[in-house]
Amino acid sequence: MSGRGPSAYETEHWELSDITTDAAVLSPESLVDRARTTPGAFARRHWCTKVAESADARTELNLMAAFDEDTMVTNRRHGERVELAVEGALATLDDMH
Amino acid sequence: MESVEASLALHEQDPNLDLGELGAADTGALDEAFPSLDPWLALARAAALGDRAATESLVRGVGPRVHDVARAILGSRHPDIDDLAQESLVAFIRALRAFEGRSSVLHYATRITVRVCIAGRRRAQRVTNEEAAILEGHADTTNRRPFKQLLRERRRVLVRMLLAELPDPQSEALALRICLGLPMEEVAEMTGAPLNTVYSRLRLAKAALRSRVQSDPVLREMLEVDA
Repeated sequence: MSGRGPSAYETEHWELSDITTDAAVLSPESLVDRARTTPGAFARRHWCTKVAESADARTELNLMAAFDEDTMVTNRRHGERVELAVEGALATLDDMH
Repeated sequence: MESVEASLALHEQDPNLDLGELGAADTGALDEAFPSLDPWLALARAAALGDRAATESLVRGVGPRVHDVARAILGSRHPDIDDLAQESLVAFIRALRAFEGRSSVLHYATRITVRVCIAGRRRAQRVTNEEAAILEGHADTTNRRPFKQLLRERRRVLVRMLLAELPDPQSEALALRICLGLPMEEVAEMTGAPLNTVYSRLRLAKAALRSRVQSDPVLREMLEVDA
């Protein structure tokens, strides 16, 4: 596949082929992966419904969502702190040479 | 498994090519044939050979990702994030000679950062003041938003505490899957373990988490309410 996003045809094809998979044979982790990554709103809604029906998948998704929330928290100093870590690492590597 | 796919594609172009000759350290032919497979690969190869400019470009390139991974593993307000991100970057560059190209360079950096941060958390052997406050806090059940917020915070603290206690393979699988939210196939690729092994490690880690939740009356009550 090229670097472009999926075409409307590809998305529709994936949606139709993917949701024919029997959700009952999938692990909670597979259900969550499908709900989080399947392209196309229709298929994603389908997998979200399947996640909602599985207690284990729901727990997994809740745990992941808690971390999603935390990693999205950034402040004005974030870029500055990354830069400091990078400069510190480069200085340490220079000292080692 | 980019290198394997690249080997097969190269073999299709030139069936006489002996793939057995393409050892872990000898991937120059693959790099030349498929320069766009991994944007960081050429820099990583050069940095592994001691090229300073390549090392600097690579550290600056993967630095934001490494810092993000450290924040996810340690918590966004943990006091050691910057130090461990720096330690991870140094460890990543020093480990480049052992990089076999079985995952992307960014995945390699991510995995090393996860390990360094878990090890750092183990060394410290303590919860931060903020984490202790979250663990001791009581849910205000009269206000829905703070209740849900506290629930999510306690989930995060429990998972992070568990990372320092579980055996390495389980804590690594838990960190990559739950803290970083990676798909199962990607976790398997990054750790070099079969998919079923990753499932097994993750289930053991979750069983430990469940046991921890059962011993926490406040969290147990909150999870029951939440379900």
